[in-house]
Amino acid sequence: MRIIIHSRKIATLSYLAVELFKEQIRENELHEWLNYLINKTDVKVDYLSGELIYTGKDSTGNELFLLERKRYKRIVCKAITGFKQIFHSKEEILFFDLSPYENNIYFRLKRVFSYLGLKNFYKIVEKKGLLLIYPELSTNISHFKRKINP
Amino acid sequence: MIIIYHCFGGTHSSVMAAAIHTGKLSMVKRPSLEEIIELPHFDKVNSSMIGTPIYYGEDEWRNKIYIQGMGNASQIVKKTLKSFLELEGIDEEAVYLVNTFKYVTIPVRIGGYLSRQLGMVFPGRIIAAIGLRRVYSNFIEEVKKVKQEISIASKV
Repeated sequence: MRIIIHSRKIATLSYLAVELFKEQIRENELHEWLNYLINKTDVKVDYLSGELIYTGKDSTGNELFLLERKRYKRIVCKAITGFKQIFHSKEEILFFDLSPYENNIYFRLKRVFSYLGLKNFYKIVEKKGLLLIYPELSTNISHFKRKINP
Repeated sequence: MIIIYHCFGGTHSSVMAAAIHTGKLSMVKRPSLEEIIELPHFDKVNSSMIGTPIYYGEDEWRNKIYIQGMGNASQIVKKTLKSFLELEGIDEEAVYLVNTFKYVTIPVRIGGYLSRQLGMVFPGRIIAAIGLRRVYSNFIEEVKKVKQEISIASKV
């Protein structure tokens, strides 16, 4: 099975979702993990929107992909589903949408600080945002995984 | 080979080109308004279908012809397709994408907007068909070019 984690923009949040799918984060090491992820994704990479970026397998062997699709969620997801049918792809494709989390106020602030070049500020607010969404994201990913692997 | 004619909504210019390619419309004679309006999927694909490739038929070489609306996301969808083909181990040249949006004139835009966005099928559909009929020769040229290229590609 292929899981496509899609968002407007690929950011630390996307990598946090990947780590949660891989079940690599322990609650007591959360702060260290977040610092690690923030520093890891600090190096600005211009992702090509639309590219499926392979990020490894989750704990149950499903392939994980990241996808930056700007604001065209519906169009891009439908196109992928259509291409799967055209080419008779046997691999099932599931989508995990990160947009409900991307609208968090801290991530919006982060974008503002990022544009202003205030690196230290944006790292702080990004971490606050990640800490805030972590419980919900973690629960939703667990539910999602349980649904596909009952 | 798979040929995808794409435009904004996947219901006007892409349908016209796909109809010419599959022989539903003549490559020589300009069709009547009725012929255009009665084409399968012409001005009938609604906005919720944008993104989904729709099968339209086969040409004389048994290539599969699709129409697809890509909205404003054509660049992203093209990259996704490229990525998807890589993932599946399919040669990129197995798919031929043709953008027909460049032949969308102002009457077609107005007609499409009236019909698809505002729900005014009449007169929107007729205005769109008139607009497309006026630039029919451009579609013939485009389809001829595509057929020429795919016949060369199939010989190689």
